[in-house]
Amino acid sequence: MSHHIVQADDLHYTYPDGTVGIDSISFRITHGESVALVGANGAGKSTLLLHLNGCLISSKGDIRIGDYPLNKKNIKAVRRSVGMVFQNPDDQLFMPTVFDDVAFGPINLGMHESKVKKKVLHALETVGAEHLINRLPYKLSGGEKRAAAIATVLAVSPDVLVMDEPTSNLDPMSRKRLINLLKTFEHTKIIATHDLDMALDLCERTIVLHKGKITADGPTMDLFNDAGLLARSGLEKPLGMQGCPVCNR
Amino acid sequence: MNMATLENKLFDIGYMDTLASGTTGLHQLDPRAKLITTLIFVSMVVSLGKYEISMMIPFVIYPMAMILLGELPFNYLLKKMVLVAPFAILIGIFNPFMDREVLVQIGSLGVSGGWISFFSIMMRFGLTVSAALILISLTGFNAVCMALERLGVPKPFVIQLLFLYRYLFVLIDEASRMVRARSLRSFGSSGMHFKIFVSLIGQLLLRTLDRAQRIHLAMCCRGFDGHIRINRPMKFGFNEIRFVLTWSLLFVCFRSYNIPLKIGELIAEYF
Repeated sequence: MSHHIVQADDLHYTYPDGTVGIDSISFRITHGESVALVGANGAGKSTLLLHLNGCLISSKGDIRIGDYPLNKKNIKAVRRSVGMVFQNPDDQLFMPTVFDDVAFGPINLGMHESKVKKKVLHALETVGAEHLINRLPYKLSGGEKRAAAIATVLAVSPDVLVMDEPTSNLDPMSRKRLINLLKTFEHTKIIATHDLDMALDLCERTIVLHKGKITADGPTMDLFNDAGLLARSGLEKPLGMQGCPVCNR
Repeated sequence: MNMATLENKLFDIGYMDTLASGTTGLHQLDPRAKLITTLIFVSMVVSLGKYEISMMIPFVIYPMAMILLGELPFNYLLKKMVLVAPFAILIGIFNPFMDREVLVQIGSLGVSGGWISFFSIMMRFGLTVSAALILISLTGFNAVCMALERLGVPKPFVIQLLFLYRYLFVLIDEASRMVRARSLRSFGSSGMHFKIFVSLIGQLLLRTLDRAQRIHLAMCCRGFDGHIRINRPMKFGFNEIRFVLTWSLLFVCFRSYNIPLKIGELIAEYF
């Protein structure tokens, strides 16, 4: 039995104001896969992510995490195995210090104090942020905030990592560092992003969303070579696959 | 006023957290000791009668000692006090007009009870606000909150304070970005019209609600069940007891005996 499988069957969600968020979404992501979720603004990426650990409940269709369907009864277990990194680290870091923030999850799981401390240290070490442990979240730089936010999720040892725009607002070096860090993770990863170069770097599989529907699902390289598909979905070839701007080749 | 300067000048309260990471003996004391001492100090100062200016003078020793021993920047604290001074002035400014009975005669100048009570309000303000600022500069806002919780203040209240402090900066950031965006497109017309002001405030409220919702989601994702558990080892040892007892005794003395008057009498006796 594996918790690492994420399966969606015919998901529908309409916001209370009538906007269609997602419309008949189905996919199956298996153990250790790294999947990019791409699409124009408002395509439904964030809405879909919020379904994966029960922040939003679909009006039709269901989600299975591992062998369990996601419902009120096992939402706690699901949230433990699906770690969610929000787009804005300020939303994620709500405690007085970085330590408290990373410890928030483990403490809520009822871990013993000494074990909590170990978990926190380990999570911060993994993202290379152990020196931030006693800092105040509002005083961190953008890159440091992102690292701390990822540590808060790693501290509960999730099986699946769900990330919303992890490289947004980062300088090129911090972005590179984050990508290299994510490469070392063995979790199942689901990453919503506009950064197609990162998708190319990290994810062997890509799901393209357009107006709430899946328009393509397949190997990243194949999809990014399909200029028509990208144009229809409000996207563009990643820079890494475009010709050299100087020699035009 | 431009929000950028407002941001820098008025709200550099974050600097207090930098101060709180100092390493003097006062910084190392258990937050509870400093909190209790400050509370006793404030209650002693506030309970003095409205004409008793002379009895307040010895109390100045406490903030002065804390600033010196805690190596705090005097000018910074003074500026913060000046910022809130208008509130105290507003409270006391009508006393000279209401209470015109002459209480003290200095040469040919009669000082009315109203002026004396005005000065006593200002002194009380100076003493209590400086004590509070010093407490936070020596301890850090978060540690003060933890101390409150340990001393039995209801948890929801403490959590509210912690969140208020955490998101105060985010809110100020957000507000200053909006004000900047407005001023960049208002091309020199300096006054903010009421209508624009209302819509800015409304926007800010909506954004705050949105953010609150996202934070709540983030909390739920990590197993929030209505309780926030923060564990901080705190140790109330010999140093703390000594600190609280010494200062409290001094405050009680200052409160019970008019020391400046006693000193005056002593000097008068000798000469």
